[in-house]
Amino acid sequence: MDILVASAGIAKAGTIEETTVEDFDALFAVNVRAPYFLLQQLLPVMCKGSSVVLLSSLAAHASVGTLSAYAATKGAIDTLVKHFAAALGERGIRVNAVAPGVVPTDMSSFAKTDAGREFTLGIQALKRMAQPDDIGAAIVFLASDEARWITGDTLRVDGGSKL
Amino acid sequence: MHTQVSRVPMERLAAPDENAETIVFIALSKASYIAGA
Repeated sequence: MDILVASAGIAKAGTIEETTVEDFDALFAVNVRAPYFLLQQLLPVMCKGSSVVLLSSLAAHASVGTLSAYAATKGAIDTLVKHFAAALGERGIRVNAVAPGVVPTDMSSFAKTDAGREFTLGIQALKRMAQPDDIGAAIVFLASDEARWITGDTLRVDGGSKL
Repeated sequence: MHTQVSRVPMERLAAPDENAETIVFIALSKASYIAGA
C-alpha cells in the first residue's frame, strides 16, 4: 500500500450542555479511534515511501460555532499526526493531515444556509466558499511524492480562516 | 551532524528540490484555497 487517506468523519454541533456522552463517544469513535486502528492494521502492508493523510479541521485551531467535542477529535488528529510521523519516519512512511475550513457539503448543512455563508465568508481572507476539490487537491499533494519531505504537519486549507 | 539528522523522523537530509516542489504547489491554482498557512 502506497497511500492511506482516512477521510471518514462525523460532526455534531452542540453546546457544552447539549453534548451527550453518546455524542461524544460517537465522535471519538469515528474521528479518532477509527483512523488510529485503521493505520495500525494497515502498517504491515505499508511500504517505504508510503504516505498517510488524515483529516483535521479548522475547528481544531479556532473556536468556530458550538463544536467543542468535534473540535477535540480534530485536535487529537493533529497530535496523532506528530506521533505517527515520529514513529514511522524511519520506515519511510510520512504522516500528515489536512485541516479544511467550512465546506458546504452534506456534513455541514449550516454552510449551505445564507447565515452559514455569511459566517464563513466573514471569518476568512479569500472571501469565497470552498469546494471539495480545494481540499482534495491538498490531500493529493500531501499523498504524492512531491511532498516527500513533509511529515508530521497539518496543512490548513481554509481560505485563510481566523487568521 | 549525525545528531541533527537523527532528530528528523525521515532520518535523512533534505534535497533542495524537495522544498522547491512545495513552493511550486503553493504557487499553483491547486492551492488556491490555502492562505495564511
